[in-house]
Amino acid sequence: LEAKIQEALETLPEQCRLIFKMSRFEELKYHEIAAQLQLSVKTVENQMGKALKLMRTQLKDYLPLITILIGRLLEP
Amino acid sequence: MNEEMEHIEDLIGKFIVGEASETEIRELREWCAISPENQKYLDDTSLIYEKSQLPSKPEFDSEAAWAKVKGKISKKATKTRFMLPTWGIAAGLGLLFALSFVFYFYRQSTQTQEFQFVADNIVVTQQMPDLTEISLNQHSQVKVEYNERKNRGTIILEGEALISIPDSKKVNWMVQAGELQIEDIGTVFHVKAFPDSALVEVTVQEGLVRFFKEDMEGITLKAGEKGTYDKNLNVFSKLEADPNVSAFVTRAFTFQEEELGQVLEKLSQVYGKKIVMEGDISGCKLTVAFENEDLETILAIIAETLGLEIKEEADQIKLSGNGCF
Repeated sequence: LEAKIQEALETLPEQCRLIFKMSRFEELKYHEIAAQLQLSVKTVENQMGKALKLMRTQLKDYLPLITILIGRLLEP
Repeated sequence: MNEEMEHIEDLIGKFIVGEASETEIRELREWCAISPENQKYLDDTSLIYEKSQLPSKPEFDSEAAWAKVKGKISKKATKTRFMLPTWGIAAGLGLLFALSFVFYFYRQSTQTQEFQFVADNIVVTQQMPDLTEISLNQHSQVKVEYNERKNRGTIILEGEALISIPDSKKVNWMVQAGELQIEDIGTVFHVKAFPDSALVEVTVQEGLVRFFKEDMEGITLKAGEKGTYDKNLNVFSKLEADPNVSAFVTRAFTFQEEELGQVLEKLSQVYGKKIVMEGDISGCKLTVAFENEDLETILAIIAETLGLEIKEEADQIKLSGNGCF
């Protein structure tokens, strides 16, 4: 899964990827990212949301398996 | 709808990176509560965020590297192998093991258990898993089929037994003696059914039983009643219970104006000792009760009461006297 996530990350649009990386790996706050890139905080929020959505769409084939399996097992 | 979704996406992002305000967190929780899909949406996204890693060598140009290596690899080596990660194998094996364990115990509990025991020269008492007690008199045997899941217990009896079923009974018991059936309705009861005897006797001490045959309705017996079935006449009849019917287990006897001959026969059966009489004493009437005494004491009391003499011989005891008082 980690490898797939990395792949998905690399396919994100330029700005999305940059903001995601700054948030995730440099642990910057939205307003810090916004200041560095000279964007509004709202745009950073938007881009971050978009980045996560795109990645989830790409990874949807890998994600549900685990959750569904566990869900089934826990059902009475 | 799209706008709303976009708003949610933003909220999720903010929530994951820890920038969401109290109000936003509450809003997201409400959204998650709408459906399990929504919750999963958030969980998946969090997982992606958590699992994402920095590329180990960000500057590495894999295309170029691949091109460089490609030429050196022979066609054979391009076979792809799918390897399961080791933790996957471990988890799979673990799951398999756990499931077989559960399945094994499930099978165990659904299977019918069988017990079999025989009493030759002594009285044997056995307890079933549901605490039902079966006391077998001498020269008797039973086979028990017990299935707790189906709430069913069957006692296949040849001979004489006292059956005590506890109040907290888990299974419905049925006694089979040849073609005769005795269904318990919460009880202590006694069954005498020797295959070579024409008479089958059922005596109820507590509760209620139904005594019947597959093709005959039979009778219902209450506490203190005795039912008999005559194999030759094919008739069920109801009598008053013999109070000493379970003496072979309890060694408790109550004799009411009973003839000495009868009393000694009963004692002889229970204690497994031959008792003979000398003189005209067989018809002497006796009223007495014993509670778990040994045979010597009982005979001493009887002899005292009726003015008899006791003589112990090699394999028998002799009571002698000159008639009754």
